[in-house]
Amino acid sequence: MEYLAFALVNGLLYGMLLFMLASGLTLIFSMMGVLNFAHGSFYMLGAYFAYQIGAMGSFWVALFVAPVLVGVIGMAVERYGLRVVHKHGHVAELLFTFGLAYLIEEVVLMVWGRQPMPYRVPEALNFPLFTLGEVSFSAYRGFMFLIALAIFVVLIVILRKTRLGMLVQAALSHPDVLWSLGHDVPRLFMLVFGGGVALAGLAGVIGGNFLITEPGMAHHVGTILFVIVVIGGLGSLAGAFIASVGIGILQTLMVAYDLRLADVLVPGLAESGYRGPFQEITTMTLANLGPVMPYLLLVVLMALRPRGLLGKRDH
Amino acid sequence: MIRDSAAPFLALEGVHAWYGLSHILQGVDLEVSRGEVVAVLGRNGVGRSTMCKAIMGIVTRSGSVRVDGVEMGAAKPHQIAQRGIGYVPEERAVFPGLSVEQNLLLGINRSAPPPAERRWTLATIYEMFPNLLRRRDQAAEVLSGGEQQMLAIGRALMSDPALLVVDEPTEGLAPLIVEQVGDLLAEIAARDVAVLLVEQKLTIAMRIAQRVYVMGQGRVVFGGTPDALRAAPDVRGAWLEV
Repeated sequence: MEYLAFALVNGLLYGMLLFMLASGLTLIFSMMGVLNFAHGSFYMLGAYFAYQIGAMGSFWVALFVAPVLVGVIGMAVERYGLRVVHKHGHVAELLFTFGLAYLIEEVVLMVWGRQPMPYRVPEALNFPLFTLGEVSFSAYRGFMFLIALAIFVVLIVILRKTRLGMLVQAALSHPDVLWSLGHDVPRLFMLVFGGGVALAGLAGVIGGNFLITEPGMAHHVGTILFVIVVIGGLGSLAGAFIASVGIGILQTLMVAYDLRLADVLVPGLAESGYRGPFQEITTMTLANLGPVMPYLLLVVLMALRPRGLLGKRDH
Repeated sequence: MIRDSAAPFLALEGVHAWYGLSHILQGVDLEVSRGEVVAVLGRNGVGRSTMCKAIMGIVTRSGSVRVDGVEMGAAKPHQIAQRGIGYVPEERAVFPGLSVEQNLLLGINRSAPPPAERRWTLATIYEMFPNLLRRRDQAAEVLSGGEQQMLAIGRALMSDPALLVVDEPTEGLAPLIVEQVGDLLAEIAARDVAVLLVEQKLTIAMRIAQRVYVMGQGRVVFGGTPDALRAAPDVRGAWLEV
């Protein structure tokens, strides 16, 4: 029972971390029509910046400075890159972010190399917060959870209660109309893009030391993110939240419960010493399937409901 | 910046506009003075909506667009709007997911006078459109077509514009509602807001406009008073009647 509770909490935590990335990605998509392929790269930059600032100063400085740095880079990318490419249509924008993802990866390789970084959880939070049975929950996990929760709440308050949030919501549906009503929509785009990638950067800061900080992290998280925003429905924040937490919990549970697939499908098959077609299935575990599951979900959902769980856009 | 206060509030001279590769506006000349109601008529596809977008700077254009005597050149849509133009887009385009009141509040941009000096406030808008008051907290997308049109007009008034550019306000509305929209635009004009009304329906335009332009094939083919248009059956036959 404790085991299940822990797996659920860890899954929720992973899901909240994913939501920090997915929320920005889906907001940027629905406002600007650009699926930002480089979103995972900003997550990676956040982690590397945090490692570097942490190595020179402290994690607590990095916690604030690294996301701001990532956000400033994001605003510059929007202002001097995307906005220029925008005139040539969405395909050009898509290719631009695609190229940007590779560019960032190459720069990271040049500066920091191929090896994973020794980016560690800060000492002050490196102790078990509580223990249930034989499993302990680290203080750092609690800290990540608080940050993710705070971001979630702040995001909702901004979107629902502030004028900035109203402008963002209006720009989601009719950016040209909002622009012609006298609001500087390009500036709003820049702020949202910068804010969105700053959130990705923050996720990198708190996730990079907990998971891993290496050049492949952008690609890895990027594909999962893509799956999340498509499943949730491109442009839907609520959909992104459900998909993030859902996939986070599902993946964690599948890894936690290392059941053999055969035992789930045909009880007793594995023990029977079955030899024959598809015999590999008898040894395959749910944990093996964990990484495939999001893509499987994606394919199934697209076949049944092409606009995603809560998506509004058809095009 | 050259400013000429005797000039019409809005003046288009040789305006060309493109939609992708299509050359939609092919040299449009048009003027609207302060306080005046001007209608632009024409069949579907002659470029009426593109002209509104060209005024607002949403489409690629060339030629001269002057607002209050100032050349807009490559000005961005928000800068053009802040010069005192309220834009009511075609198909209403209210912001879904936001309430009626939030939609109205988004009509306020940086050019709006301080609250105490505004001629158009939530109170005056609600007085003019009682339906919006009743539904102020409801999501804008659940309103009827007519109510959404009132909302789009109210939204465009919130920054105290000198000119309202209204694109096809009666499209898809029931005849009774069309009359109401006409009455409202006349009332707004009576409160010293110029109106550039882009319409397909002749009756409402002829009733409230002081001057009428007829567009055909990307150009203005007629300009004059409603009476002059009534007296020109050849213009109506060639460019308006189906």
